Amino acid sequence: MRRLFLIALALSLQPRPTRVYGDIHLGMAAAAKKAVEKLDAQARTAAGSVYWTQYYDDPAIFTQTLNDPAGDWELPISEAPPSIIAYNTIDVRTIQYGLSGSYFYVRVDYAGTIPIAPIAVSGQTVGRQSTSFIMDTDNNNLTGANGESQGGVQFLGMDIYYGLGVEYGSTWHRAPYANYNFPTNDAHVYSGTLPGEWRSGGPGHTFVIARFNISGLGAYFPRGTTVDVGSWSEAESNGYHHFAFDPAPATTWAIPP
Amino acid sequence: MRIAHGIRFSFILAALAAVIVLRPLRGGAAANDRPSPGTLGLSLNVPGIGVRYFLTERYSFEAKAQTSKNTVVAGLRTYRYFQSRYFLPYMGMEADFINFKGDVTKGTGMAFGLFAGGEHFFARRLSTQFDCGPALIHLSNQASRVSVDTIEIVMNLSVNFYFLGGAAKERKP
Repeated sequence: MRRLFLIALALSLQPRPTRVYGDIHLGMAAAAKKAVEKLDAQARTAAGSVYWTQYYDDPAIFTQTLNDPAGDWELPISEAPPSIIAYNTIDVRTIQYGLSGSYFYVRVDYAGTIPIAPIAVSGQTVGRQSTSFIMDTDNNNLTGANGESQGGVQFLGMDIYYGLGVEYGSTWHRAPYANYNFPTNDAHVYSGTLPGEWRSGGPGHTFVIARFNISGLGAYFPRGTTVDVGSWSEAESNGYHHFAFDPAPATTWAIPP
Repeated sequence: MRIAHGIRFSFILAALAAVIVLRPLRGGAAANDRPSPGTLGLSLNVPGIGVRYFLTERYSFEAKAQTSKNTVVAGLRTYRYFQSRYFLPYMGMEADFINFKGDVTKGTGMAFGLFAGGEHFFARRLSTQFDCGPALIHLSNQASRVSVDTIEIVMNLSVNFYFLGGAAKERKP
């Protein structure tokens, strides 16, 4: 019996070239944890098959980085819950952007993982999130529209708006897009629209990468000029359009020629 | 079969368990001691706890709970003991309920396992045990409508303290 036990122990620890069973774990909890990792991978794959093809883009494309402090939540002025909701999934850590050929690339990294399906948060069901990236391309506060108020300061003169919105668990998704040429100060009234492309990240990941072909934007993407840029992120629940809101500090960007 | 991350630690523990279980006794409890019916014990396993109850000399049950990074496993093990000169070999099965939270999933699941191993008393009320066997694990995440069924090899290592009922008693081989 003693020999049998030793043989069984040796066989159980013997690496084999053909994978018939899973890994060896110390304790059922460790084995269950491994199964959870497999389920996570499967869920990511399932979400990816619906939404996203993961393209590879050279990280060197992103020449600029906008750092956003962690946990800098703000209560939006409208369609918001009574108090601030700290929803980590839209807590932007960095926004990186840059140019490659005729494409403008934006990468947004969040503190949390973008859900693959609507989730319950603070009594609400959160089903979508989006990050906005805006530019004052003519450096004139009197033209364009007004961006979201952030910390009591409103971004004035928004000439082009890039929207990176993600739906959780929907069979369709919104492609990233850009709106430009705002004839009034209303950000919802525009005459120009430019569809973008998702490149990678998305549900099941902590980031998104999108790109826009800016070759036809002309003055709305003034290469060789320094412009003001700003950003904010928000999540929408079944009860509040602005369920959670994370502003990012405005900065400037010297667009490469 | 791939050996999981952290197997070095696991291997050391398993080897230690094997040495303790299989080494010849030098005094203290007899090699083939076993709890008598009605014995109740606490089990400290890796990584959790359990309560053991001997229904007969050959059969015992254990309610156990383990945790590992947002994963909680609770279930029942049954043991069938055999006689041996050096230690108490056994085989058994277990069923567990799993509650988990992954990076993008959360939900519940079940596990069913078979195992074989041995228990050794190194003191009158103290024993260590080691066993190993396959486990079928089923997890599902309703929100994303995905599920996974996987067979993993599970080793169990624990130290038991029997404090109620009949203590270990010597039996002739």
